[in-house]
Amino acid sequence: MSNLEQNFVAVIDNLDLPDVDLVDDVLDQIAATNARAGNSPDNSRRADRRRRMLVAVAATAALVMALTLTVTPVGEAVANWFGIGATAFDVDDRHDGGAADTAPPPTEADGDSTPGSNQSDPVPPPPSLSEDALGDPVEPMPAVTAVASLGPPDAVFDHAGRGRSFLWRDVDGSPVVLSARRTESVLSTKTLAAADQVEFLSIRTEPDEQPPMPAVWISEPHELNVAVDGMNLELAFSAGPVLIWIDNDVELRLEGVADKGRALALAAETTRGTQLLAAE
Amino acid sequence: MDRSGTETDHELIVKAVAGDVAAFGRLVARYQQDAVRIAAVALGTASDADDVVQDSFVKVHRALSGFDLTVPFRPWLYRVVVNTARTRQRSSSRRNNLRLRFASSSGRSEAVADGPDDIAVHLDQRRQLVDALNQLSPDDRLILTYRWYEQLSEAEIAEALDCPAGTVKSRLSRAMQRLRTEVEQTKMSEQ
Repeated sequence: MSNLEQNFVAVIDNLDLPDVDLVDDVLDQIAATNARAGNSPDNSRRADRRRRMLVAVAATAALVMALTLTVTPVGEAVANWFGIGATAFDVDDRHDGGAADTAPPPTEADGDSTPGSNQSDPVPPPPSLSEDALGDPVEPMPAVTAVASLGPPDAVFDHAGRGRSFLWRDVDGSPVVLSARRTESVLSTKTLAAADQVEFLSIRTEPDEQPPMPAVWISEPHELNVAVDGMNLELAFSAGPVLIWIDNDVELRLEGVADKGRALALAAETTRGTQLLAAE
Repeated sequence: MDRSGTETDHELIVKAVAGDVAAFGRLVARYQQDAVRIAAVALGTASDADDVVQDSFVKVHRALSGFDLTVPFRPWLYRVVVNTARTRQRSSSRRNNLRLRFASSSGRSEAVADGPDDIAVHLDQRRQLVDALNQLSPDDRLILTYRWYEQLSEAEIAEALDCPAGTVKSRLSRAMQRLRTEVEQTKMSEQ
């Protein structure tokens, strides 16, 4: 250690700093912020559900930490878990919305969730990308652009107050869909078969005090098996390449972009999830 | 838990995200003093450093559910602290006359001197160094603090400064050179 470095360390160590104990102040401020946001005991069920999802997000991230990008049994388990929210909501929307006839029928109503159980079926396009959906915009264009370089979306779909999907025709005419949903409203589970096609990533956006957002890239068409809570129902169908990421308590999903680099670039320029949902 | 039985940062984060407020409190307790030091280095004064750190921890808590557990926590915390300090500094009228100061008591890294003359030399060198540090930009002060005091790796420094890892070495080198130059100028001005 040089003399300069030694003195530098001593100087920094001897700065006249307040001897702080901020724990109570920080926790009080957090409690006050939560109270203003309406997290009262009346909302305990909602809060419990949110906490459950946040635990799941954290658990996923913790598992990601332990993984390499090579395929492992653990990786498969993580992949199976990670897609829960987005897939479940798609299936739910198929049942609630006007495009229900584009979703394949339930294959095993009592719950055969074995990955790839309907591999011999023809691979339909991902549910959100159906031609029926493309031809049936149900909402006027939103005030938000959603993804800067794609411009205003060609159609917007509201999902019963639980999220929104934005749809564009890409330059080659193929559909690109961005979906945003609150993780706290996720009620379903799913199984993703193609663990070896899953890559764990993180996405950075401004402002830079935001931590990187955990993300999953699934490069190839894959099987989805979705159990819908409260309906004693399990659906199975196929989906294309998808990028899924978590922005605080909002889950975002980009479909219809086959190139990972472009998908990540689009994700990085996507409006924050809460802003997308604020337009509801 | 780590080998000593202490909860790791990531364990505390997972618990905090799950709603365990006390776990987040333990995370605050673990890093508050380091964060205050970084805030003071960024601001150029200890004034307001505790407020900056309090605001920073609230921001961290708000964003915690999206934290990527594949990266270390401390550099990200420092980044939030420095950004918060910069925001506060922009709105402060005192930003042009901020100074670092010596503490009245000895710190843990105080060099052992052999006698009164040595002590005087040390104190003189450090007083000059403080004057020199005050002439440096906050970015220079921060990168030197991250490397020499906090002993962060280059990757961690890049995370804390939000810059490409490949630029850390050259930034550090330039900051060291500027510090040496300022120290020399301080000495010359006193002669």
